[in-house]
Amino acid sequence: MTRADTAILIIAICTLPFVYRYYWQAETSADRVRIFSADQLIKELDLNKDRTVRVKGVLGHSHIQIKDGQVRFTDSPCTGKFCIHKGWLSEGGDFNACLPNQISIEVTGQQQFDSMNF
Amino acid sequence: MNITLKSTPEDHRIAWLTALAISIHVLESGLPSPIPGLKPGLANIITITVLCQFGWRTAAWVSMLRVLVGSLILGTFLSPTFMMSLAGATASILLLGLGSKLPGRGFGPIGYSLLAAISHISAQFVTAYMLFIPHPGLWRLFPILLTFAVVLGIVNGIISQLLLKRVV
Repeated sequence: MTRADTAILIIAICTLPFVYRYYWQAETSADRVRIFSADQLIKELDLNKDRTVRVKGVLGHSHIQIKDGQVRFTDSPCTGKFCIHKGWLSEGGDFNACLPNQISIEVTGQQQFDSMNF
Repeated sequence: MNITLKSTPEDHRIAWLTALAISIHVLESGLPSPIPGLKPGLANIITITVLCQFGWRTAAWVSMLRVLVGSLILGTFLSPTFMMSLAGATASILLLGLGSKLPGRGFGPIGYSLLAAISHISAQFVTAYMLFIPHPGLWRLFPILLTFAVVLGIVNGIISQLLLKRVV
């Protein structure tokens, strides 16, 4: 082994733990909820503070509940109620929209995730 | 009209070495693998040995021809497998070129092999991410395969060194 061999061997072995740490770190925890009305950001709330909010959409008021680091629609003036049936959102990047009422909610962390991951 | 193809002794050498590398490449594709994407990369032993013995030019020919002909034999030409193989071989031969420019005694077979293995797997991940699986979850596999690349790179380097000692 030449000196260059030893050098690259040591560099490779010493870098490995950092590679593990970098690619295996936990996803940044989700901590914010953003509420949109017709594409406009109208509220940004803390996901860890339990509360219920009412936001006005084109049909009427949507009720959104934040509890235990999760968020959901509890009431909506739409006909399908798909937004309510979608249930709780808790992961960064989770997204839910009530199309008839044009209200959508998105959970974000420190790191911005694309809500359209495929 | 008479067309004659002049072949130099170097061409013959490249052809022989490539034939050897192709055989290993094809045999290796039949080996079962515990993790998808994990291959011992035995054909790289030939690339490294050729690099140390005959220089970078010959090694580049052998490596590129091996990927091309190997894919034709296995029927994977222009398939994702081929793209990954090509990306890995191109990246490692380019990095080996840089590595061989190192002043002084430079790298031996173990250093070259390690360099080739690491650049190989890294280029394959970038290719897989850009062309085939554009999902960030793919990178969670990277540390595992990189670990194997380091280990197998060292093992292949040692085999190459043994080969060279017998040759010289």
